[in-house]
Amino acid sequence: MAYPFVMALYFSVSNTVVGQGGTFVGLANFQRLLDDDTFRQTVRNSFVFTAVAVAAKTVLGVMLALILYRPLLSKRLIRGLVLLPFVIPTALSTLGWLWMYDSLYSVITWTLNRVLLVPLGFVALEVNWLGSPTLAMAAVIVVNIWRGLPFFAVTVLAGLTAIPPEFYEAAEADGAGRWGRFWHVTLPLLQPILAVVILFSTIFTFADFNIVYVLTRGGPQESTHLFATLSHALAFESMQLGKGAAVSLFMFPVLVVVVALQFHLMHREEIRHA
Amino acid sequence: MSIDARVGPIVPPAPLTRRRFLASSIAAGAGTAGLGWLAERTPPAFAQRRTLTALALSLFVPSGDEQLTQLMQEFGKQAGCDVRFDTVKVTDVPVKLAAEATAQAGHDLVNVWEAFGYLHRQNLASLDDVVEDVGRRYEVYPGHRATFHIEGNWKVAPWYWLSFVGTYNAKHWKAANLSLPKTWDDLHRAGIELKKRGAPVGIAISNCTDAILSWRNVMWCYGAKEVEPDGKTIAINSPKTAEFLEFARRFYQDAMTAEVLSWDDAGNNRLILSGKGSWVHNPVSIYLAARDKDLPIMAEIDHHEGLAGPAGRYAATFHHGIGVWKFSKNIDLAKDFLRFLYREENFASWVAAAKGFCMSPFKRFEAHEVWKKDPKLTLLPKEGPYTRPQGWPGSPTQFIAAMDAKYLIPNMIAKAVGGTPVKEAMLWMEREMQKIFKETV
Amino acid sequence: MPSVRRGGAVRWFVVDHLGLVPFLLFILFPIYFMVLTAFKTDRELYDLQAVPFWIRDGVSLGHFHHLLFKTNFARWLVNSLVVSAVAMIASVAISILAAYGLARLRFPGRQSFGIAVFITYLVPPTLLFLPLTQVVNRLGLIDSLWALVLTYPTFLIPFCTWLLLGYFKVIPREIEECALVDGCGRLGVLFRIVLPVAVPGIVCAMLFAFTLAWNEFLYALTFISASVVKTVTIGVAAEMVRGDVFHWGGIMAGAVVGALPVVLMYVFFLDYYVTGLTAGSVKG
Repeated sequence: MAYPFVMALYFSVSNTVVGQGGTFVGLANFQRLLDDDTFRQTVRNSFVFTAVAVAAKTVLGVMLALILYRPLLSKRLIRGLVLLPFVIPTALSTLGWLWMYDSLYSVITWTLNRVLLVPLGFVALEVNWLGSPTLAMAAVIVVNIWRGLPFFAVTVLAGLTAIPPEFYEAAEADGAGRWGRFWHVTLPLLQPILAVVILFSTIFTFADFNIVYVLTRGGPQESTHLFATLSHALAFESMQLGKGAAVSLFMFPVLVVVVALQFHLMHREEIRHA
Repeated sequence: MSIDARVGPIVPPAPLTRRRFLASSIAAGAGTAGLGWLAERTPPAFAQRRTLTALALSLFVPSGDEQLTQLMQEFGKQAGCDVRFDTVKVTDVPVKLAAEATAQAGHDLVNVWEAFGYLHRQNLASLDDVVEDVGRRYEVYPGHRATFHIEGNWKVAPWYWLSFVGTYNAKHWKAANLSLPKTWDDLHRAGIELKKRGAPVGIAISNCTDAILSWRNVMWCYGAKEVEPDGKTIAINSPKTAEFLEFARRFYQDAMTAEVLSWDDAGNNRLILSGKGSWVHNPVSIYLAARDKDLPIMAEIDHHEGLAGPAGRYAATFHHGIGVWKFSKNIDLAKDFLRFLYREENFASWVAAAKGFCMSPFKRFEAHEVWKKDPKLTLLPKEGPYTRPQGWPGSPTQFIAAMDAKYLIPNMIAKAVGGTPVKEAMLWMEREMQKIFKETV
Repeated sequence: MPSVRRGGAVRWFVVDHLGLVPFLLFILFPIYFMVLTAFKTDRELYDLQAVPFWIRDGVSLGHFHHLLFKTNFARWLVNSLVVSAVAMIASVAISILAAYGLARLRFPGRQSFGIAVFITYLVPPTLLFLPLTQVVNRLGLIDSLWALVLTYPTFLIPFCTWLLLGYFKVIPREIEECALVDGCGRLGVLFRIVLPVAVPGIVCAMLFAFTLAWNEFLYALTFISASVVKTVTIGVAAEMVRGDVFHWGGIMAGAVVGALPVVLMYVFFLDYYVTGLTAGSVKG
């Protein structure tokens, strides 16, 4: 385990090219990356992707959890269905989305045209979901939300069920309405579990590879490249192994900070239980 | 009461329910079966017969892969060895090549194309004896020598190439009463008329492989080049390039629509398949796919020969070849297989199985009947002498691969058609090339 | 929940279910669409005039037929099953020990050990797989499922340890303390007291591990070339993506059947999964 990691470190400080050897170049790779437009774009992409996706998953997750908490028909079935995107292997479900986003046969475009635009008298559009920078970023974020939403919903739901009813009763006795109960009772008590889930998800989302790789391979014009996909592209399309390794290592500081936060939170909770 | 979101009230262990018993016994049974399955799949520690292995991309035409498997098996019978032919998705081949080169172990024969031959040159065995011999018999087109003859000897044996031709919608051209173009200029003039009729021409000006290939093609026809034959001197800043960019700008404005700026590799397929497009630059896969799926549009699609420019006629393509790893334990066996493959009846059978999609690198097979069967494919072999490797007149080196990974050519053209003065666009590309040059060469 | 007037309850009941609809649509439509595509004929799939929401030309088993009889799909399924199962068992077993150690035992360098475990998880496979290839090669395991079984734990163990660590930490120490006082050894405590209580968490870790292993792509691609040894994820891509053309019917058929085992496992263990992931007392 240690050996591959050390080798990877070595790659990042060398100018190794695939198929040939390399020599030590110190921090040159890292310097060049900071100068590189593509890399800077990738940094922007990664933060945008992670921030938007995690925020959306949080909000939607809480909403869905609140609904699932209510008395519903066939709760078990619904809960099972809700978990499906998370359960189906990403490598396979992303292919399904690739087909849904297909520039010619997209079911989304079809629906948009036949159901909305044409009946209202507009001209039918031909949308290249994965072909224009903003749309492509939106497209990959949607898939990430689709996949991660169940995780948020189910976890928050558990948090909701752990809140003792007495708190709600007390708040109602104080005259709090629905919204007041949510804002003053539910949300604060959900904080610990929300914090954990958000941090967890941030790590997963920041280091995501599969979704972007399958859908856009980082394009168009590098507008959806994340650290993991850029590293892969540099290593296998430009053949620059050294640079690719360096990109991967750039991810590190951010992830380490998040992990440290996670540790800190768990530690705090441990103290609370003691 | 503590708010414990992780574990509910502690409950004593659940009694052994039937469900749990079933689950655990299934697990035990499956476990032993699984380990047995694993053991069976492990290759034996000692070698028995030799196994010759080959790796290639999954061909667009599956029967081509099947035929190669069959040829390998026949060879195996004759040579007394086992054979295995593995195919993977085209984008995964570089990953596997990299892994095998790094680990210094893997297949014996590998499918290598364009820059990959140069990239892995230190790990590929010399195939001079095989290729010189077949060259004498069949005459290899110059483009393949330029791609695969690296640093003094043949590092890769030519296998096939893909022909990018003018794919047009005959209905639109007939309706506009236009004759087929012979030069890019002809196409430009025809395009003006076609666009007016709502049937534009389409060449991608975006970050996709089609864009690189097509525009390099046009660039060569106008005498412009990225590097000198030494592969290192940057030569993009020249009057010829300016002339080429001026042509590209006019061509785009008069004959194309803005959608080409956001195309992916399937963009030109879409334009023709939708019935709207009049001309694109693509391998014949569009037509073949339509024919196989029995789509009505197939009747309207046709092809014409490659176009020429002021500096002559050239064809951009992907040259595919087969290399043998230096670290393979079966180098001689691999070379024997190549000789077997190159036997006239064998190679011809493979060409036939590829249904005309894979072009032969040898002049000898120009008259193969696979291209005569369907009149829309007859012109394909004629492109043979005009192919050139990516990065020509230099070799397809890592420098070129890195440039292409950043889509420099399409970006330069996008700038030119987008309003940037031609001189500036050229200078931009020169600067970008210099940056990449410092890192790769 | 606090009681509400009868009329209000009915109103909220309807609103709640209505609110559920957009979520369910978003979540389930892609899956429905994938399954639908797997059963459509090619002609209808590529017909721009056809309505994509249902099947017009009749249900076609052609893609499944091709998958099962013209490719090594059945083999790939079994390979994936075996690899995922074995890797899961090995990883979870080790993770239980590691997580318990981190949660309960005090030994020097405990903090840094914990951090080291998570750091190895953070290093992406795209970086590791080239050096790992050399290791796998030297062990003579190329093209063997053992290569996967031995390399998958490198990312499964950190993840499962993390999951179980959080779970163990919240189990009150008192129950263990009693057993320790009674003369039970540490391991005894682990096996007889803690594990039975932690079953939901362990099952959850197992399911996660299984899914991650099943889903894995890069190592499977690099270490395995022979078609009969491939796993489902790379086998489907290799066979169904030819040149630059995607054969969508076949891909979806492969995706649907390829996801089935994992989905079935979840259905079977759904309760465990939900409780393990969250809390023990979910109202339902």
